[in-house]
Amino acid sequence: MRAFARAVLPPLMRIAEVVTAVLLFAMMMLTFADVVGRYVFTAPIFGAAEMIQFLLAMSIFAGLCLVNARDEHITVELFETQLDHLIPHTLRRIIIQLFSVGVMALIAYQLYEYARDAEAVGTKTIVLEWPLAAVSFAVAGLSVVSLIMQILGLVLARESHGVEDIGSRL
Amino acid sequence: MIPALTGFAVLILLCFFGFRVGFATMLVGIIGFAYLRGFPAAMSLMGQQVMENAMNYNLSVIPLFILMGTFIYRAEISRDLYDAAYAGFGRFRGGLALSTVVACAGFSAVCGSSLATAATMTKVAIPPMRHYRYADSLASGSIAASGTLGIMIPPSVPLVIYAIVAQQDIGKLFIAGVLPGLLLVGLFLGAVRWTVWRNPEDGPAGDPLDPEVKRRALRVVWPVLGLFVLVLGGIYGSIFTPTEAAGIGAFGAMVISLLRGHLRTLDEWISTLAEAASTTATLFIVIFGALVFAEFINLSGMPYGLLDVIDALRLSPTGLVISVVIIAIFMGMIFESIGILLLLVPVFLPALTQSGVNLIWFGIVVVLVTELGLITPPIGMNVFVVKAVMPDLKLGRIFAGVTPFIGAILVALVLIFMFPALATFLPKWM
Repeated sequence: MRAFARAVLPPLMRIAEVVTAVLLFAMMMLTFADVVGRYVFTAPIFGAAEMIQFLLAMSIFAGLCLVNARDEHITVELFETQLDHLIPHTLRRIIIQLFSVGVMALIAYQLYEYARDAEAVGTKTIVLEWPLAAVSFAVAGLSVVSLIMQILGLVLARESHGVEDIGSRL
Repeated sequence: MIPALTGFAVLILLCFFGFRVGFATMLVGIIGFAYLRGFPAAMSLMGQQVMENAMNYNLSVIPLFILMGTFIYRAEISRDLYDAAYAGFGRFRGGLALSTVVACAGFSAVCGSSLATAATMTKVAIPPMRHYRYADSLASGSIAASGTLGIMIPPSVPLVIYAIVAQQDIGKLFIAGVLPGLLLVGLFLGAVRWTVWRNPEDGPAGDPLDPEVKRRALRVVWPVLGLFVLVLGGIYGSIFTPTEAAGIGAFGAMVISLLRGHLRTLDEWISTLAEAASTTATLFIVIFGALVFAEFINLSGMPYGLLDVIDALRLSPTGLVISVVIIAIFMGMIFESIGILLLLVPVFLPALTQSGVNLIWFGIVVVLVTELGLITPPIGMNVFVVKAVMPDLKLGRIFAGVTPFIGAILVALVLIFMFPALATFLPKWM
């Protein structure tokens, strides 16, 4: 399992980095071009706001792949030392990570359900008339990938001292 | 009100145990909602909240401002900003600390992250202050405290998050933050002066800056200042929406970074953009969790139950705001700034609205309190960051050093209570 994770996670991280970079860059350029188009050429980009909405959703969940794999989530570290006296550190980490994976699985499942609903109803966006299901499925797909990367990240992190180190090694 | 209070208690316990704040908030929200309305409803609520907020146009301002900050960070302007501030303030007593306050204000305003500001400025400003034998407390305290200035000075992510939760206009909140932000800078400068007035040997004056260094430093200040004015001026004049301003800000920051010789390889581009996206995702997981949690809290009736409590206590609007501020100060000891805004504001929103509290003004008050949370024990993230970058500094010295600045923030709080126009005057003219 570890060998598998070691082989698979770094290329996945690279792909996720490139995808998030492209999405975010597109979002910035689209916003910029829309404003310049509006004021300089009096020709704003048609449906720019909707495209930005889509890009936002996609870049959040593409970024989540990186965050989940490195476990960069916000935590409260008030009682770290006291807790380590109470329960073994490793045990506590396992409980915490299982919890994170569980909730992430719940999110991914529910996003998939949302996408199926959108498909069944056939909701289209107002301006561009793009199917909402398309972006919903994309987001659901990304959340599944982020869940897989979360698990791979955990497998890899087990051999180092802490999850914190993993970012620098990838 | 029992389910909601139980929810809060469980959430705090889970966070103390080390569960990731976003995931814990989300799950407590779902279970609470399921307890009141059944599991299927709770699950579909989660899907809906996550997906619809992931596609919320107003929230796209967050990644774009984070990207602007990441580009500015990569442009390595901190050194030049510090030199420029030094050119203005270095010759006074405590001049290096004064320069640190001004440089931190400028850097954190465009960078947006108080932690990144504290980390960067520690590297830039501590060595010269050590050279001039500044007291460690003043040197480190001024950095830890001034790193938080950008939370109030727009563009600011906490202000955006408050705007979303309280359903207020993001642009108006940004503009509302300008005067309080400048007031804070002034008070922080006052805190430095007060410190060196009490202990003159803590912060001697610096030598005049080499004219060549000064010229080079000022060359950086103008584009950065220009970008800041463009972004805020555009919002103030309603020339563009906050999201558009953020896009333009990010683009401008990218140009500044390019002109300074950065972003020359594809790898650098990818890592900069991916870093901004990671930060965004970290924030959004907490936002999603908190929005689901807020749905549970609303359904539980707690915010409306509080109305009765407030009636029974005959709490005046000011009394209500003061109570919320006290709770926020305590929450600031546990959660990061974002957590306070996302968890606390929804609970008190109906009560504040009913009491006729100006929600733009209240946003400024609550954001000011979150600044306090970043430098007060036991957590004080900014203090920890300074310590992490300069491990030989004693934590106690840093906390001692931020004390005058805590005083300055409290003075600002009192002033904003006494003169609400500080926050409400500028947005009125938009």
